[in-house]
Amino acid sequence: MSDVRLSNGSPTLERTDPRVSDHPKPSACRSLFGSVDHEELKRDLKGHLREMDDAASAKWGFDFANHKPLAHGRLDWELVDCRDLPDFYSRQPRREKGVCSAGNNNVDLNGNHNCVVVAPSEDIERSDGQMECTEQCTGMRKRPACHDPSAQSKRSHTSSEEVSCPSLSHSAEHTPRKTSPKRQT
Amino acid sequence: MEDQLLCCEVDSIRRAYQDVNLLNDRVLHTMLKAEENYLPSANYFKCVQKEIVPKMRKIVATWMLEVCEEQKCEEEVFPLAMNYLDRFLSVEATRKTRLQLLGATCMFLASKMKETVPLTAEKLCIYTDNSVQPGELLRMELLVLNKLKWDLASVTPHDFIEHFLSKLKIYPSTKQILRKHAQTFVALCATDVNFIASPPSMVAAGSVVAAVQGLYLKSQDASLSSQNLTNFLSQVIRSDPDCLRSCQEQIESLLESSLRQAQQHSSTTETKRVDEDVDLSCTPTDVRDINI
Repeated sequence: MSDVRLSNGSPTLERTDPRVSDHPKPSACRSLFGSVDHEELKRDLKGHLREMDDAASAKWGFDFANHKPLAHGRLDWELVDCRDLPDFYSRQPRREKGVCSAGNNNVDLNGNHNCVVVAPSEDIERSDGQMECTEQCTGMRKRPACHDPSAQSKRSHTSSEEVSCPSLSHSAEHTPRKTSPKRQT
Repeated sequence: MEDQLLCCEVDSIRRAYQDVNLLNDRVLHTMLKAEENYLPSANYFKCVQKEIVPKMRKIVATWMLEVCEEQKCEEEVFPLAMNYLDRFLSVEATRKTRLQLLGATCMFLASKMKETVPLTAEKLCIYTDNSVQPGELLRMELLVLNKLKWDLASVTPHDFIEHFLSKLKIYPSTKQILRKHAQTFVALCATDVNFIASPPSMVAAGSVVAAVQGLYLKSQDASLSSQNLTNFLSQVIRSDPDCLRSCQEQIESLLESSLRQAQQHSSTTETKRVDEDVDLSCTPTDVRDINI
C-alpha cells in the first residue's frame, strides 16, 4: 500500500523546501504599466463594492450595512440566538504558529494586513458585509461565554441564563427562511 | 506507517499525497465535462477590453510566472492564476495600469486555493514594486471573486497531466521527467495568448505529447510514437487527433521561439546557461539537455 502511495510520485514531492525567499529579488519587483492612480482606483473599487453590496441586498432582501431585513424582501428573516448556531460561526479562526514565518509581520495567513482590517481609516468606512462580519465576530468572540467550556454544549443550555450574553442584541443572527417552507414531510 | 508519514512532513510544507483512487475514468470524464465551464472567452481583447492588448497579457504573465517561481509556488498556482485573470478580463473592461494589480490578485487567490502556506498580500505588493497597496489588493480580491461568481475551482491542464501519465506505460523515473516537462509546457502555454480558449485537456495532452517527443521516448515503446500517442490521447480527451497534433505543434513552436528569445536575452546579458531561462522556468526547457 505504501508502495502505491509513494510510487505515484506526486509532482509536489519534488518540491520539499519550504518557501525560502523572504526577500524578493529586486529584478522581479517591478511596476509593469506605469503608476497607478490610487485615488481613482480607490473610488472605482468603492463603486464596484457598493454595487456588489446592493446586489447582495437585493438578492437576500437584507440591509447588510445596518443589519436589518428590507421591508419588502422575498425572504422572511427571523432572529436567532447566536448560541443556537454551530460554533464555527463565531469561533476564532485557528492560527498556527510555525506556519507564519518571519517576514510576515502583521499579515495573517490570508494576507490580511492588520492595519487594513482594524484601522478605522477613512477608506474603510464602507461597511460591507465582510467588514461587518469581522466586527461582529470579534464582538462575539469577546463574549466570555464563548471561552467557557459550557458554551460547547450550548444547545442544551439555551434556557439557562448562567451563560450570559452581554451583547445579545448585537450577536443575534438573522436567518433567512423562505416565505413558503416546503418542508412538509 | 503513520509515524513514517509524520517524519516526512516535519521539516517541510504539509501537503496531501496524490490520491490514486482519483485517477480513474469517472473522475476524468467529470473533469472533461467541467472544464468547459471555466473557459475564458477567446476574443476578449476585441470584445471587452479597450486598453489591454495581447502584448500586455504576455508582460503580466511573464512577471507572474517569475513571482511564482521565485516564491516556489506549487506548479498549479500559475496556470490557475492565469485562468482567473483571463476569466476576469472576459467580463470586465480593465485599465492598463490596473492589470498588474489584477495579476497580483489572481496569484493571491490561486495561491490560497492551492497552497499550504499561501502568498501574502504584502509580499505580492512588494513584487509590484509597491505600486499596489495591500488594501487595494484585498478589495480587488473581493471584486475578482464576485466577477468569477466565487467559482475558483477551475479545471487546469495540471489536473489532466497526472491522468494521462497514469495511462502511459513508462518507468516511474521517466514519468517524473515527463511530468516536469509537461508542466513546463503548460506554464509556457499559459503565458501565450493563443491558448487562452484552448480546453485545458487539450493543452495538457499537447504538452504530454510534446514532452514525449522532446525526450525521444518513442524508442522505449511503440505506443509512445507520436502517431500512436496522439491517437490514444485524443481518444482519451474525446477530441480529434488532428486538433491535438496542431496543438502539439503550436506548443513546440512556442517553445522554440521562447528558447530563441531566451538565448538572445542571455547572450546580451552574458549568462552562462541557456537553459536557465528567465522567461520561462527554472526547469531546463531544452529537453535534450536532460536526455543525454
